[in-house]
Amino acid sequence: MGQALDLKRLEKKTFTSRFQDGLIDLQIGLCLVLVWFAGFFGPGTAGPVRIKLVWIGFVVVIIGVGLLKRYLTHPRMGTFQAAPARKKRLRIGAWVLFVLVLAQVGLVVVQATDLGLSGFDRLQGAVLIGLAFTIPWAFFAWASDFERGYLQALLLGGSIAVGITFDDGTAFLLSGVLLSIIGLALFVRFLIANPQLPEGHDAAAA
Amino acid sequence: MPRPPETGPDESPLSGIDRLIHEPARMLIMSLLMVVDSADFVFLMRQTGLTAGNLSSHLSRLEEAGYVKVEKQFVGKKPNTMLRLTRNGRQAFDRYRERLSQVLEVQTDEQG
Repeated sequence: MGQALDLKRLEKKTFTSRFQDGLIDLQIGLCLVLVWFAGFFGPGTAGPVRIKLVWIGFVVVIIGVGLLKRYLTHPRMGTFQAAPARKKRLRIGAWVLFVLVLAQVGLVVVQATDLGLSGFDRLQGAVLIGLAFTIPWAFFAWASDFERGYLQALLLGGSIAVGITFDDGTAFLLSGVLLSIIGLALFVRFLIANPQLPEGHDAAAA
Repeated sequence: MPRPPETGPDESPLSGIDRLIHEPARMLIMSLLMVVDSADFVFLMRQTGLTAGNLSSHLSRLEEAGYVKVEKQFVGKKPNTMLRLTRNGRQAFDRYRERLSQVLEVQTDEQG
């Protein structure tokens, strides 16, 4: 009864239930593994064929996860529309994300035109670029009350920073595998806990 | 001679509690619908752990009381039932929470 009457806590639990299937972890994890596979970092430079394969891989992962959500997990978990207060928070989050992405683009332009980053050493540049990925994702985690999102933000930005600093893709592989394992475990747990509903279950509705 | 009750039925601390909401399953349904804009039948079933028949019967009672609005629609070719609290339902739940808090406060004060 306590939780039912603590509406703030219940709202948080209800909203974050949309991440319980682990597919978002799996998606980011597989994308990080693909970055490792591309060989952007390390002694072997990425060839054009490999880069094309990686882009195809990204598309397959994103579409595949989308299809899994649509046809497998959403019908089992049901859907809901968030409350107005949550929608407002997500809108604020979206605006901040937009500004941060603009800042990222600015950063890339500055780097490309060699206007401002020439004074940075490799480590400083790596940390800056890592933060440019960590902060937006952490902001998404905050707006969604999604605690695993902070770990994802850390692994995402951390891999990029370590990858650039040491010119080695191993951090992407480790982070990607870790997130994929977490995602896969949550996905299997979700499928076991939420078996497929029989046809016409909705007909029983009031 | 039997002692008269200290309080009549109308003066009981529980008299203002909405009995329709005060049933655990219905209270959970109302709480869940309070924290979202709307939710479908499957979502409520998963979140409450109730069976389809049980949930349906509680929803019928809440709908009869004017607390819940039921909207039947089709998503693709599949039927989908969306549920939301009416303004009446939200007010009733707010009153219920307030009244229950008062009762619990009174009990705590008396015991402490």
